[in-house]
Amino acid sequence: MKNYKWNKLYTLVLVANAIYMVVFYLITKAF
Amino acid sequence: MQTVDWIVLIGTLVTIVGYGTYQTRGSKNVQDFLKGGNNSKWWTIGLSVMATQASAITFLSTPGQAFNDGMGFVQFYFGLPLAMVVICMVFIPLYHRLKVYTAYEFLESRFDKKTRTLTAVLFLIQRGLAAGITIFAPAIILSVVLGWNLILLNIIIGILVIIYTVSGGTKAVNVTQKHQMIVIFTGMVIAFILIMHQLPADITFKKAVDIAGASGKMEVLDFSFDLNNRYTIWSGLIGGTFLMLSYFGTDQSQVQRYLSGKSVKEMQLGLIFNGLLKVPMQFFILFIGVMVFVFYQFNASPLNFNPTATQVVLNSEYAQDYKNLEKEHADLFELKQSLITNYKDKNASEILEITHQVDANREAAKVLIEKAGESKDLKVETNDKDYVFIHFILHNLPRGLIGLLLAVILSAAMSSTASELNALASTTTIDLYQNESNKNDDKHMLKVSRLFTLLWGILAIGIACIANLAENLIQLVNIIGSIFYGNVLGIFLLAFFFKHVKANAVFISALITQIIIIALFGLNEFEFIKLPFLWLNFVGCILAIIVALVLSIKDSNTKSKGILIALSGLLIAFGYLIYENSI
Repeated sequence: MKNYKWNKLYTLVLVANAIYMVVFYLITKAF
Repeated sequence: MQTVDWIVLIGTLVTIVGYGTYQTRGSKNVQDFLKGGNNSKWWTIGLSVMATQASAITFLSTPGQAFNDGMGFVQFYFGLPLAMVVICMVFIPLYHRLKVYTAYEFLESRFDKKTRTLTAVLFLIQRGLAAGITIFAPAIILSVVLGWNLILLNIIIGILVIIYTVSGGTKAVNVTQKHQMIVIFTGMVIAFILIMHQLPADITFKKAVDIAGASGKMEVLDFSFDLNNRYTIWSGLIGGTFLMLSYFGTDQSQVQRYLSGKSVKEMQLGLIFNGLLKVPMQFFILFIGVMVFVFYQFNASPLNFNPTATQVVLNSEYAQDYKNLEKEHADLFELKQSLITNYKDKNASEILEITHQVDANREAAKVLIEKAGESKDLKVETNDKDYVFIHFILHNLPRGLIGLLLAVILSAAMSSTASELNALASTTTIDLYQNESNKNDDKHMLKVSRLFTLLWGILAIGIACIANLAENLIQLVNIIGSIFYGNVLGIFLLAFFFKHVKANAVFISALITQIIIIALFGLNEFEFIKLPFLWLNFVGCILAIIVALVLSIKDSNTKSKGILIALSGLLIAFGYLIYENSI
């Protein structure tokens, strides 16, 4: 795995995906 | 369709095709034709990847899916961002370093020629059939609702795509997809604004969402572990990740999109763009469907949106029963409308109850349609989700915009087909023709690439034209995809992560896995087990890795043995879940 470089944009993608899920959870609960 | 709609529709399609063909004419060599001269910027790649995945069915079916079942389908895409990160980190740097034209070319450098040929042939079978269906699926719906000639429509879509893919290759595909996506986004945003505009004056956005929520359409997330439920957060995150890894990482129709990038960075940014935007985009398309649902709470809707199905049942012995259901449907509409007009939280449960009654009524109508079809020896599509959005478009959008929305649907069909033809031609030229003939003359290879693009285009039109005759062809294509995808991904992951695994072990593992997956599919079809097709990718991938690691056990180190034990444990646990689910 040492050959594969992490990039901060990957963190952004994963965080965005987590935020989408949280927002969808809130939508499910709210409506 | 008014004259202005025809002008907008034909004008949009011809302008995109004409401009794309003109801009990208005269490829000088194979690299130009198959990799677009490696000049693409990240936004071109990003839009091209998005356009390839979003076929016409995405825009016809997805709103209908939300109309029927709510927003849950968006969970299917939760695995996509995870897959994009893995592809950016692992797949792209390797493909780029080896300067490959196709994903399968990489497998020869890592394993051997037979593994490359096997995966290339699996791709050609699956994608060759799928290209025909990409044309046929929207054509059949448009021909039913607009009365257009199905064969003629298939031929027109096919020829338009052939013109620019044969002329400009990958560059033409990328350029046209960029414009097609602009038309698609514009059309969908306008459709959304118009739906909101056509709701009654006192229905605000908040109230519309409340009504959708009270009717059970806003349940986005499902945390249940039920394997029978196709769209849950788990199937999206686990099954979805494996499916998206296979599709974006190993399917040449997608790989070719990012291989045209100027640099590794541009390729990665193109995929990151998709990782960020795909989930909200899909949410938006589903939300349009939910708002169409709200619209039909204030406007009468047909009991079944498929006009052919309605015609069949009304001309059968079940006509009176169907008319009774239509009467009940109209009564429920009146009842629900009075509740919705005075919507308050306290009558939400009554609204949900009536929504369930409407759904039950619609299901009863489908049973009658099926019986009517059987009595006339006809195969009638009872599921009308593909017809909901187009019905709304044709009956409620103003002049000119109907033409624009039809241009959206046909642009989506053309953009997906173009990528497929482009990829089929590349794989046939590079992985089969060049690999077998050892010919390297650039001019000759360019001619051959163009010829194969043309031949695959003609074949796709042919498949689209006979698809109506072959029962369940669409289903067959989906099945073929899910049967092969997991295994192919397993081969690629072995190539990337398990350096000690050699060619023969991989090849034998691929054959064993394929037999087991086909057997599992058969057991599921004959109802001995319950294994939804989305999970076949996951099982296929894990199984291919396990078998290859077992066959290479002599050369493996402690780490590989640990992975083997962990994956075996995972597969056994999953097998137990299937067993529990099946009894």
